[in-house]
Formats: sequence, C-alpha cells, structure tokens
Amino acid sequence: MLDKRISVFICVHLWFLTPVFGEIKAGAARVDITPPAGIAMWGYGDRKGPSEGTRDPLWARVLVVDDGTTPVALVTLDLGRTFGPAQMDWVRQRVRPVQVVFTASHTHSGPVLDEEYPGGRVPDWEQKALEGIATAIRRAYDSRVEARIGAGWSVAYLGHDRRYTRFDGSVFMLWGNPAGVPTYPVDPAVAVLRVDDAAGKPLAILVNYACHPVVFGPDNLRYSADYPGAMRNYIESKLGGMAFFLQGAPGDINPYKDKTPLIEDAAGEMARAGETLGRAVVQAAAGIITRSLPDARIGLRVDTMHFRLRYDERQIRASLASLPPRYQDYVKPEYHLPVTSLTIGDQFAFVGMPGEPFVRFQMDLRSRLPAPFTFFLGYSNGYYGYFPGIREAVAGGYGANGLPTWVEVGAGERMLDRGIINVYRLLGKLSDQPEQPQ
Amino acid sequence: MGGYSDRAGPSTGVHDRLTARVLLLKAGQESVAFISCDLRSFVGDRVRERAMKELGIGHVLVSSSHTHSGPLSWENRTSRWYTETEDKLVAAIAEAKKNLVPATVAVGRGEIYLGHNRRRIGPEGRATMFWRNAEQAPTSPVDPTVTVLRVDDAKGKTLAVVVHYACHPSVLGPDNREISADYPGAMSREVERQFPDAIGMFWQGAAGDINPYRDKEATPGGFAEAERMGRALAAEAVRVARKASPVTGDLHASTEVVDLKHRWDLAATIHAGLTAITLGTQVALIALPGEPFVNHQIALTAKSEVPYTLLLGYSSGAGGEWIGYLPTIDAAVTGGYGAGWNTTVEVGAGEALVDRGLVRMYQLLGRLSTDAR
Repeated sequence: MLDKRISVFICVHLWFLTPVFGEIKAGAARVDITPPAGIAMWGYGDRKGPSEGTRDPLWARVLVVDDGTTPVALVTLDLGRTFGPAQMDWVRQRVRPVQVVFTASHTHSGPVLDEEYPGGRVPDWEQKALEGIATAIRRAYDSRVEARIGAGWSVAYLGHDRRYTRFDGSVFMLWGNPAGVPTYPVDPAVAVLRVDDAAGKPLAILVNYACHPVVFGPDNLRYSADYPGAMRNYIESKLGGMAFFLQGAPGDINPYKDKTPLIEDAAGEMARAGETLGRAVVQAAAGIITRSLPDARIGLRVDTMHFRLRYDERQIRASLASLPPRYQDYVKPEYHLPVTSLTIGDQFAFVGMPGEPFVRFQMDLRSRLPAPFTFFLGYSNGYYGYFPGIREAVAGGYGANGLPTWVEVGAGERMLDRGIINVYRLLGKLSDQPEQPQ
Repeated sequence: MGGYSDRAGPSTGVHDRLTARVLLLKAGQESVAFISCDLRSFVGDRVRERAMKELGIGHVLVSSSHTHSGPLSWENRTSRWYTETEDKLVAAIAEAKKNLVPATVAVGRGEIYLGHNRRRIGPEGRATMFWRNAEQAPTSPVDPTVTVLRVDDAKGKTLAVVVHYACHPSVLGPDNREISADYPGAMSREVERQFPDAIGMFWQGAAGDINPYRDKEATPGGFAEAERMGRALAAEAVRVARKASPVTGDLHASTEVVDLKHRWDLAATIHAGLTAITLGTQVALIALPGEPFVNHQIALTAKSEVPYTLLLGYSSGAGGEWIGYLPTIDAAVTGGYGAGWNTTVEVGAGEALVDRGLVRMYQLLGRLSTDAR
C-alpha cells in the first residue's frame, strides 16, 4: 500500500519533467440550426401561434477535446431541450470515434422538440439540424490543434429564485422580480473555462451560469437564443474565439426581468442581460492563465439510472388529457436517465443531468468539488422535466410539484451523487477493485 | 465471538448477560415493536414475520447495539442459538403485547462526547486509522447528540427510556473473551436503576466511523471503563428524560427493500431493508441494517424538517441482508477501514438509503404531494 502511494506521488511530481507524449487538442465549430417560420414554439402554453420568423439565429456550437485516444464533442444547443434519444444516437453513429455530450441552453424562444415522433418521422428542420451538427462535429474534430486550458470565475446577478418561500415555509411563485427583492437560494457564480491555442489566442470560452433564458415571454413569436446569445456576441467581440453557454441548474432561477413584454423593450432588456453576464465573463477570462496539459487524459462516463414515475399513472394520464396527445408519450412506469461525467485532465470536470435541476444541486456540486473546477450541465443528454431537491418537493411550487416534474422525488440527489462518484472514478480516486487491507 | 478477527478463541464465559428489550407502541391502526438487542448484527427476519402473523403487530424493528463482545450473529444465522434467540424475541413481543397500557411519549435531546472519529485524513487525502484516542484529541466529524424517548403510563410511571447515541461498543477489545454488552449494557442498567419500573433501551446511531475514546481497553480494566462510559451516557440520558417534552399525533411506519449493487461485483444485487417510522410530527426514525458513517446522521438531521429525526444503524425492519459499512462518498474516496476493501455495497448507497428514508418519512407525514395536476 505504502509503495503504491509513493509511486503515485512520483508520477504527479515528476509530471513536469517527463518528456511530452501528447497534448490535449481542441477544435471548435458551429452551425445555424434555426428552423423556418411556422413551427410551434417551446416554453409557454399561452402563445398566440407558431413562430413568425427569426430575431437572432439559433446555433449548435461544438467544442471537441481530444487526448489522442478519447475525443469528446460538447455540443451546446440554442434549444429548450436536447433532441430525443434516437435523434442523439443518429448523430453519435455518424461521428465515431468522437463521443458526444449534448446540452441545451433552455431558451424559451426556440421550436418545440419531442422525445420521439410517430413512426420515427423526425421533422424536416430537426433532421437538417442533426445533419448540420454531425458535420460541425467532424469539422471541429478535423480542425483540432494543441490547446492550453484554464478556468476561472466571476459573479453576476441576472437571476433570482422565482419560488418565494414565506416565513411559514410555504411557497408562492414570483416569476419576475423587477423590484429586485432578494430571494434564496441563488448561485451568482459565473464559471469560465478558457481554451486557447498554443499561441495563447482564445479558441473557445465556455460559460457556465444558471438562469432561465426567459427574458422574452410568450408574446415573442420570433426565434431567439435569448440572453445567452447576446452574451456570446459580447464575449466574441471582446476576446475573439468562439463563446459557448452552458446552462447550469436553473430549475428555480428566473431573470429579474422575466417575460418582458415586447412593447417594454424586451429586445433591449435581453441585450443588456447578455452584456451584463458577458462583462463578468470577460473580466474572469482576463485573469485565467491557460496552460498546456501534457499527458492529461480525457474521461467520459455516462451511466443510466432507473427511476420510477412520481405519480399514479392513471392520474397523470388523466391530468394530461386536455393537452396535445403527444404528452402522453412522456408517461412511463420507469425512466432510464443518463447521468454524464466528463473530465479533462485532473483539474476540469463536468457533471450533467437530463432535465431542469434546481439550483441547490449546482451549489451542492460546487461545495463538494470532485475536481478543482467542476461545471454543472443541466438539460444534458436528454430531458425528463424538473428535478427539485427533496426539500423543495416538500415545500412545493412550480417545478417542485405537479405536472412539470414527473420523475420520483430524490432522483436529482441520486444523479448528482452518481455524477460525482463517476468523476472520482475517471480521476482514478475511486477504484472498482478492493485495495489490500492495511 | 463477533467484532474482531484477531481473537485467540471462542468465549470463555459471561461477564454480563446479553439482553433484548422490547418497546411496543400502538396508536390508531398502527403498532410497532421496537426490539433492542445486545448483539452485533442481528437481522431476525423470523421475528418480524412471526410477530406480524401470530401477534398481529404492524411493524417490527430489530436493532442491535453492535457490541463487540457478543456472539457472531448475522454470520451465525443458521445456528440453533440464532433460532432460539428469535423464539425468545417473539415471546418477549407477546409479553409486551399483554402488558399494553395507555401511555404518553416524550422526547428530548442532550449531548455528550464519549467517542471520536477513528479516521484521520492526511494531507495527501488518504485516511489512516485512529482506533484509540485516550488523550481525547478533537476529531471530526462527530455527533455528540443524545436523543431520548420517555414512555410513561397514565399515572406518570415511566415504562421505558430509549437512548439514541452513535459510538461503537468496542471499549472491550479482542483480548476479552467474556460475553458482555459493553457500554450500552452499563447504560441500560444505570437507567433502569434510576427508573426502577422502566426498561432502559439503547438505539445505536450512525457509528460506522465512531469509536470510544478508550477503544479496546485491556481487561480487566476494560470492564470498569465500559461501566464508566455507560454510566456517563446514562447520566445525560436521565437528565434529558426528566425534562423531555410530550409527543402528540399518530404513529406511522413503512418499509421498503432497496436494491443496491455490490461494490466489487456489479452483477450482484444486495437487498437493503429500509424502515421509516414517524411518531407525531416531532419524531422520525430512519433505520437500516448496516453501519452508516456519522456524516449520514448529521446530513439527515440537517435535511429533515422533523425536529427529532434519528438514523438507526444496525436495524432491520424490512428483510433483506446485512449490508455492512456505509461510508459517505467522500469517505470512500479517502479510503480506510469501513470505506474501502471491507465494504460490500456500492459507493453512494448510504446517501441513497438516507434520502429514500427521508422521502418515505415525508410521505408518511403527508407532506409530499401525490397530485399530478
């Protein structure tokens, strides 16, 4: 045991002196996935009709990282949710050996997407988007160059906890909060991963922040990436490279100016929100020292976890009766949820959950930090509704109870734990073989 | 004997007798038989099944104090001694049922430092074992909480004092080959001396990483130390019992078997029996048949909105297997005894069971919405 420990130490400390065998390489690409007008829009039940055009394009942005043996593409989508499992698999089949992690920004000004389609008939715009993404992944992979990586953070207060907890423990929904009443919990952290080329020029800036992209409300009928798009434009104008938005755990976090009506300058408000966040990112990015990661490994592990339906099946089907029939497809006695863990070297990690986790999970991850810089990816590799913590489910409110959450209470806690356990496994800190007794 | 692998041989005699104490609570339609045994890891499925079938008891929770000076128990589950013990426990439940009288329950909380965390995390992030800490150096995490239930009859005569505390009963070490209940036995005797009409019951908490300061004290001094420690715990328990405040409301219980993966053999499934019990809105118990690390108890207390929420390790109320140590995820990463090679269930199982128990508890209290609208 002692011998083993010493050898591990030597590995770590002599790392800088050993010859360079390989570097982490990275490449970025993007593709416009904006659907044509006329498609039903995501996010609000009370829209007047389908989309009427485009305000700003919806993008799929791809960052490929590769250690020479494990190339992984992180695909960020300006969509309400990721594609259904069969559609994601379609892309994955076409880009081997690159493995793909999909994550969505949750913009409410995008098109409706479904888990599955009758007869497997994927809508034309979506099929075109999938093809474009597969091409973009190959482009990013082919363009990969030696990279330097670093991380840092800043704070921004775009969001508030939209569930206002009264002194008796009950909850009422604030939604917007233009007066800026302090609410709790909120995570103002803006975590930034900066990927430079060998010369130190930014290749990609990844921003991890938790806030619903709902500056635009249901009166907006034109596609928009909402504030994350404006944020990216700001960052790219200041730093160059390609900017990415990684949505965190905003299941209970809304912008202060939520659903701003168009006549109250929603477009200006959206741009201001994006710029506020962008400024925090530029400030953080300036302080990041990137370095090459000789001999660093990339690790990806996606576990499937099994959870029950939270409610009585007949009751939930009855509750869905007034909604379009496709909602019935979401009701299953058991759900198989993918939990994603991705590591780059021993410093950087991502933990992903397939739906809308409440912000406490992100704060919990940050307090437990299985790797020095660990990012939280909500809306990743699937979509299974809200994941409130147990305590939020008890307190109630939107997303904590009722139709928007249908997987059993406690699923979020289990997925976070599994994501953390798998980061430890990928970093070699948890073995699947018993060590010898001391 | 159970508890240490390096004992020179079997028991040579009895220092103090091992006892099982039964508290039967009945309220409304629900009844729960709580059994506390001076044993190491007794699961007693037949006790539960027979008491439910033959005596009409709603739920049965068999808890062990985890004394390290008793017989091997889970490992001996096919022996005659084990079967006879099960028979005795069923008879004791029958006797408790005969003695049912109207009663009130009160609860209170105190604290005492009798144990330390036996895992020390070095600067390199690995645990080394710190079995004995006679100098009482501060360690972390430790939970000094003593929770006490007092049950009185209608005239105010105390029938039972139940003491929940987390610390390995390993004052007596492998050199001792006389059967003993260790410090919990001494605690019970002292409580029963102060409340002559009562049973003094012990509920072991999340003691998976907590040892007595004077761990494995050599005999004969070890017996005196177990006595001293037991009396110290009893003194705090009696103080708390006398000022305990009334519990009102219903009794609810639910059980579930949770399927866990084997940590080293992912194809194997381990069945973990999980029990949740609520007493009014003030007291809740989450019980599981293994050895949770103390941070699970601390986390449960922090997460629960029920003022007295207890984690009972070493307790079986739902069938399944003895599941062994339940380190936290962090502890599994740092390794050490009870966190690495000698664990059986998957990493994260302790967190999963505690959270599931918490969900069950809220369901029993009607605080989790089941409305899909």
